[in-house]
Amino acid sequence: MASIVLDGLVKRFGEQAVVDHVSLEIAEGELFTLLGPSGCGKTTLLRLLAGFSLPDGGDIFFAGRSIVKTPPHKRETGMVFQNYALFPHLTIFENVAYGLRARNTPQAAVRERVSAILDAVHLDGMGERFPRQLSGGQQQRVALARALVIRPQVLLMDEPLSNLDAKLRVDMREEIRRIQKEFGITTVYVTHDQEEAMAISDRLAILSGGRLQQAGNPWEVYFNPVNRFTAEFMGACTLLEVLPGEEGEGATGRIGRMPVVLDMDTRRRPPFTIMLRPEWIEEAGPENRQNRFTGIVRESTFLGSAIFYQIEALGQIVRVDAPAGGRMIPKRPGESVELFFSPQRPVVLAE
Amino acid sequence: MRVKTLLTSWNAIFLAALAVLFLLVVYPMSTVFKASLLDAAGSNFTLENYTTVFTTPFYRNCLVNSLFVSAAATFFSVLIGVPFAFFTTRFKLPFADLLRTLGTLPLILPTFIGAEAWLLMLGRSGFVTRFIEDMGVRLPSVMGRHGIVLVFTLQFFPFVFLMVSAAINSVDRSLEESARNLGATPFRVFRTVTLPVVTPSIAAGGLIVFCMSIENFGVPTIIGGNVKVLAEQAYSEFISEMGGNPGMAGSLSSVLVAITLVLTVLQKFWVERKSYAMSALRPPEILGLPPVATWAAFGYCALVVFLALAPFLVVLVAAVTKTSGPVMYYGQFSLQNLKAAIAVAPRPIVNSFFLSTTATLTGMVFGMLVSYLIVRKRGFSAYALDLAMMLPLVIAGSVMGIALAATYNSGPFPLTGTWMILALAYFIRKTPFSVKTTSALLQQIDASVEEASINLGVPPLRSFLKVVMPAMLPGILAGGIIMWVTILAELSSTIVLYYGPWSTMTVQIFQYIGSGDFGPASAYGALLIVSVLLPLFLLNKIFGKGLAPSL
Repeated sequence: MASIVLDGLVKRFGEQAVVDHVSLEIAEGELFTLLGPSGCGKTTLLRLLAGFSLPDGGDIFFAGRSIVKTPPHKRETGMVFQNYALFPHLTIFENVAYGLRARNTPQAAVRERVSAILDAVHLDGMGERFPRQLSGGQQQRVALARALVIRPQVLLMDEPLSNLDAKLRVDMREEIRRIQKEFGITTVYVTHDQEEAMAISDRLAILSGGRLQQAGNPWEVYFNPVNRFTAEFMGACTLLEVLPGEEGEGATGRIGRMPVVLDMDTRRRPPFTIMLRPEWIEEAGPENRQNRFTGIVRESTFLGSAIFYQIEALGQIVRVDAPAGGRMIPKRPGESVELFFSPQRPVVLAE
Repeated sequence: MRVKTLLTSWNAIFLAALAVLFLLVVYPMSTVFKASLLDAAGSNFTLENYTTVFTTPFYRNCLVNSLFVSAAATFFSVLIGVPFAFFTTRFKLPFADLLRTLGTLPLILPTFIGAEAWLLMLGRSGFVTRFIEDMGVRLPSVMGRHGIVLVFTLQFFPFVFLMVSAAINSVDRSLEESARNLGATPFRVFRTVTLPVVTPSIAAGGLIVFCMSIENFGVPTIIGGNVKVLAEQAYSEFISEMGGNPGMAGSLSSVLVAITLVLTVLQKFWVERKSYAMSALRPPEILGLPPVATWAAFGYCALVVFLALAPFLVVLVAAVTKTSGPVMYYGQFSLQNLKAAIAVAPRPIVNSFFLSTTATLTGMVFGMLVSYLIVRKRGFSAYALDLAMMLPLVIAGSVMGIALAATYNSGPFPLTGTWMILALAYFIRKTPFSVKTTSALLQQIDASVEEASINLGVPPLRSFLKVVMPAMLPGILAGGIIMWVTILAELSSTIVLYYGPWSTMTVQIFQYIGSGDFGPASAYGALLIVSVLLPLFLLNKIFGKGLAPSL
């Protein structure tokens, strides 16, 4: 088990920096997710940690020791590959035992540890089978067991769930979470799925264009994104331009002609952009006087627990989610609706 | 990148591979080409050797014969192979599996033995000819262009059959279903969807048949009578070297290589680009036919297989038939010829096995390393190596033999007249098979498997040996077996390169046929057939199906 420190890490492919001065600290035992769209550098970063790729700048520390000069087979990282990379010619048992044999573990200990880990991932009794005889979810567990059995300092997971179907994906991520906590192993997890990242992570980092955009726990990055990219990547949102003017009555500025009241501790003056999550905008009652505006429903999508609306208001399309059966009476396209948002809610984005 | 430093140690291997290809292919072929541009004195530049090919009636006939028999064989192979593929792949036929397996066999059986068998049956004193003559009808001889086309067609139609059959299976069922769903009748679906989708494969199979035919040496020589083709005439010009003409051997060879090269390039850039293979999840449904149609289709396939394989049974029978000179006493069992081949003068058999095994083992190691470079290294150099590695495939065996013999008969490595040059010729001609089977398999193995091993603590080189090698092993073995059996059956380059004590089974067969001694020829033929089929049978047992596509 080890903490991980990335210090100004740079990796270039030709001219292009795919990892661009990334610094991070990951605590011991933490499940830390690298999140971002494809091409953001998250997998490259993971491969730098595993040693399959050497950085062009910066340093990596496991438990305080720089490991950039350590070759990949001596790094003591356990990696779970996107396609599992199970050895097709070896049985499940031998797949899992592979790393132990490489470390000259005595036969008895191999037997014991492999059985124990196969138990832990609920694959007891599968040892004599071959990878192709297993389902996707089972292969996933073998890959996890194989990485864990060597008791690595760090567990690395590269989009481990992307080859599974939706239902299994949810089950497996809970399973991974459970096992990770059970072993208390420092884990770096790569995914492009923000929901998966929020569900599984202790903390996460959002990457774009090789740069670190924001790091924090899921709660922080969802409710307090620092910039437009993070705001949009972490979930649906509406971005509104706040312009100067209409001060007084506590208003900070205006959106179109609507005065905006923002209850926040900021020295920033308009113009700036604020971000609203769809569930922060609600239907206005008579008592809601601030930040109140009228819109016309353009589209509504019923999802069972909630209704998603696209509403034309404030000169743009505003995204509003309302719990089905909640306060807002279901609206049809074309109907007009009075909306508001609370002054505490909006997040001012650093552009 | 750590894997990169592993690859830098591969750079040496890369250069070695290029050097081998240069010394055994590029340089010898340039020698042949150079000779074709020199006059009889061997000193002055001239294009006369080429104008001779195209203007002298004799040589022009060789060219026309080559093109004609190859085109005809291609036409008939498509005609036979396409229905065979559809019948055995799309429809419920009795013994469909068996028909498919038997339909693949002609590919592996030596073509010149097929030619010999047709002579045994329909030659001037063939038993079928005589039987019919006894009834008062005189059959035309099988010798000539039609005989060549007959043998080529029956031996090469499996290329078409296999390509088309693979194409049929690589198209997802949904394609035809959606055509039906859009309102097309079954016939319309066949005409507008199924057939167009397999057309590139028909073209690809046809091109292979054409190339295999035009480079073939044994069949036209044995069954062509006085019909001469390029592959044969280049050999004749070269071998009568004393009074012969290296310039003409060179120009005939160059024309032959140019034809195959153009067709292969065409195949690579046109046909491959038009491939519609999908990673099919559900291959098309196998349809039941009405009983009459079922039996008609079955009868057709069975007849094709029978015609293609019966000649080899004839050779097996002839091998244990009493003979004296050219006279065969059918019905009289005798082991005299087999005994002579195995016990009295076993050297050719020993030679065949020794040379084949040596070249195969070398080729397997070489093929494994080259495959790894081609698949894992990517980039331009890997692509160049891939192309260079496939060069020997476009060079006819007799031309390859001429090139090596002419290049290495003097200089620092005088190899001509040693067994080494035979082994080298076999090695360079057949290693592409090993590369093909091995790299095809390696392509399916993700690079992450290797990385997983390194990640688990095994150093790079050991990871290659422990994880990549075993995964490549079926491909290496399959390639090795294909190399081994095709080398055993190799006549064209052998006939140019062998000398006295290093005669092989194929040379023996060829010479005995030439002198009309069908008994001893059949004895060696039978031994060759068995030596070729046995390993393939084992291969099929070990790895199941999927061996044929690698050819």
